[in-house]
Amino acid sequence: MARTATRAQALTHQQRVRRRHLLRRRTLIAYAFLAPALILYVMFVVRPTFQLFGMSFYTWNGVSPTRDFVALDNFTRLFADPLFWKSLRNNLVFVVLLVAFNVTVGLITASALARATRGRLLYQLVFFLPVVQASIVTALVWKWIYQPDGLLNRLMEDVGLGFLTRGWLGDPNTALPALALAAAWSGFGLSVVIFLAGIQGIDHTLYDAAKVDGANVRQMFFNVTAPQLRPVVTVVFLLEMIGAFQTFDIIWATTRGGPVSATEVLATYMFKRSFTEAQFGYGAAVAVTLMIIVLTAALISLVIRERNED
Amino acid sequence: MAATTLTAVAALALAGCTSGGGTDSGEDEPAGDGVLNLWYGYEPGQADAITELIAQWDEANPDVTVEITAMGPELNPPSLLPALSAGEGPDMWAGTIGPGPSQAFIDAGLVRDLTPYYCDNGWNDVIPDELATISTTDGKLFAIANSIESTGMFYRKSIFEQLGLEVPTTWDEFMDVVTTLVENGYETPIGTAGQDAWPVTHLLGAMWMSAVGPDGIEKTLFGDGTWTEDGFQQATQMFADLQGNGYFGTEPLAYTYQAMTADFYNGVVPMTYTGGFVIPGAQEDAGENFDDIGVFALPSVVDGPIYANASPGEGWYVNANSAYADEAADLLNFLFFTDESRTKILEGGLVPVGPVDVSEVELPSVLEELLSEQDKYRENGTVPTFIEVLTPGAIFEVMQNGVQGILAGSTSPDQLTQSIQTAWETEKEAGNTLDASAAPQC
Repeated sequence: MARTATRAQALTHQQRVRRRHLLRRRTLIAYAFLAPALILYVMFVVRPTFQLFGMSFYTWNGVSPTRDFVALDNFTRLFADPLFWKSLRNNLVFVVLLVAFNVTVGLITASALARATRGRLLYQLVFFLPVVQASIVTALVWKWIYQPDGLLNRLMEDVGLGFLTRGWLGDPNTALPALALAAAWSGFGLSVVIFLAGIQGIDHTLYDAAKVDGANVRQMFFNVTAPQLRPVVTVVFLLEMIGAFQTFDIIWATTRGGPVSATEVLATYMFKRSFTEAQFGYGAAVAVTLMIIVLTAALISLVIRERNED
Repeated sequence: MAATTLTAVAALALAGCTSGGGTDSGEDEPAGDGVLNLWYGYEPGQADAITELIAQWDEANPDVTVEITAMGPELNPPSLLPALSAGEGPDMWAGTIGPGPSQAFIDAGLVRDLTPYYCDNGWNDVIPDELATISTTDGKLFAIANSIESTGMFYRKSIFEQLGLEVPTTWDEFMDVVTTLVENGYETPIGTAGQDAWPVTHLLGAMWMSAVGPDGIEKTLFGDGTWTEDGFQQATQMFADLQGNGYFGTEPLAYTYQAMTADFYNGVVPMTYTGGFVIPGAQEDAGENFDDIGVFALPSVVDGPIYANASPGEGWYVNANSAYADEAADLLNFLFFTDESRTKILEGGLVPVGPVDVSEVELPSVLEELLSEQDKYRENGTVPTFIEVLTPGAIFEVMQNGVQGILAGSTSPDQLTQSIQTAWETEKEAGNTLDASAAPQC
């Protein structure tokens, strides 16, 4: 009996060792599979990011073999430049408009689509089409729409709103919101698809229970759909916010930051300093600042979400 | 037109030349692959005189094949910088000239010193010193300008004839023309393309030059003059008045260059301030209306003399690391310094640098008028056509913003000149302004 017990204990020990060995092997294999991606990530993301940080402490014209160390001078200059603050303010307005539109309208549209019994796929395709469209095409389409003799003004005249017509991209008061709307249109389909996937993942018994309790459509949206979608909303919010901070192409292809810097955002500001004026050190300082702003905003939103969940 | 000898002068009474004969052109050169890559800012598929001449040179030089990459209208495309800094990029390219972005390539040693070719091929006999200086750093020539650009007020002759208007020679007459056009239903008597900013800055730049003259601009660029002096202030105020009176249309900031140009060719806009650089494209785009386009020199904004204006167009550069530097220089020699090519470029609507005999050349009518206007006022002195050729990129950026601000009514003339002065002081302190003391010597 005692002999049998010892043998059993020995087997267990052997099994444990084997298991541990197996686990270690699996871990090593996992690392081996991850290694190429990790190496590429370090080479093409981590290293350039550190290089960017380093470059922001130098003056460099982008091509010269020599660069001068200027410590924090680029940042001092940056924070003293009124155009930087204007670009940042424009960027924040752009972010708010874009995120507000794509999160609220995207969520409402997805909820409506989730209830649709027919044609859902068609609507999804229609909404998603601008997402796959090249951004330069989107920019050109909207540039044409916003022209003084463009589609929007013609439409407004047809419905008796001719007194509101204007050159939307030429008016410093309307250019930024007009471009934010165009950018929202091009990214709106993605929000709808993500929200729709989230809604379809919600347990249907929750809706059944709400119905039994006598909840109407609006109450079900606010008491079931919205709370259940909170993680999805966070994801969409973060994606849209980061995308909005990085916006460049639609602005560059339409207004190049004008008129009177009304649509200048940090990305266009950075591009001009770097590529038009060959001030790559300064451009790097702008890029670093933009990165810190985006990371901070993303962290704050994640912390708020975590707190709400607690 | 009578035989005319044009000597394009960029109105810069520049101080003496520094010594220096350039670098040795026989540096160690990498092995080539038989292809001379050339990046050139023309529209894909659109052949112009220069691309046709390149094809001609290519055929006559079987050892090397020229491959042209069309860069569109973008001067100094962003791809040029990473390509050159990676040791790649074109063997030669056309880009901006002067202390703008191209200067970074020169400072980094990425551009071939063309001084030996300049001296050996006699280019120095063709290019006026004042012009060569703009593309010279430390006594070495780094670019060859493909043309001399002049600007003027382009107008539709038939509209003027229909309304009984004469070409104005004074500012008051010009204002009479403008008001007559407005009274006759032309909502935008002067097309400005404010959305793209750069076309309208040419008009303001011309008004500045008109007010301060050759001496004033020289003093500002190379002396102790400032951009806030009376002439600049007065001209900027007059520009703002044109806007205030609605002479640029109701929404100049909504007007793109493309839309404005189309409206001008279609007779919706009767006048626009532009340059000879539009002529090659206009021959095709304006169609049968091309011959209806005329041009006159902008009258003096201060009741003073009218000046001729001239600035270099695109600069042609050779890659310092090119295996085909000699071939590239030979191509430049063929393009811009042989009679046959110069005539063809003229016929195509561009004015080559240096003396040009136009007596035997059939010029586009509007180019003939533009040259004639320049000749008429040359004895009064010549001012630069483009501010951006003579100032760092940051200045033009500030200027474009300020001009848009005036068009939007959010910037005052004082604010515009002050912002340029501030940017100018910064650039001057950083050593980014044009060096007036350097000129290539053979």
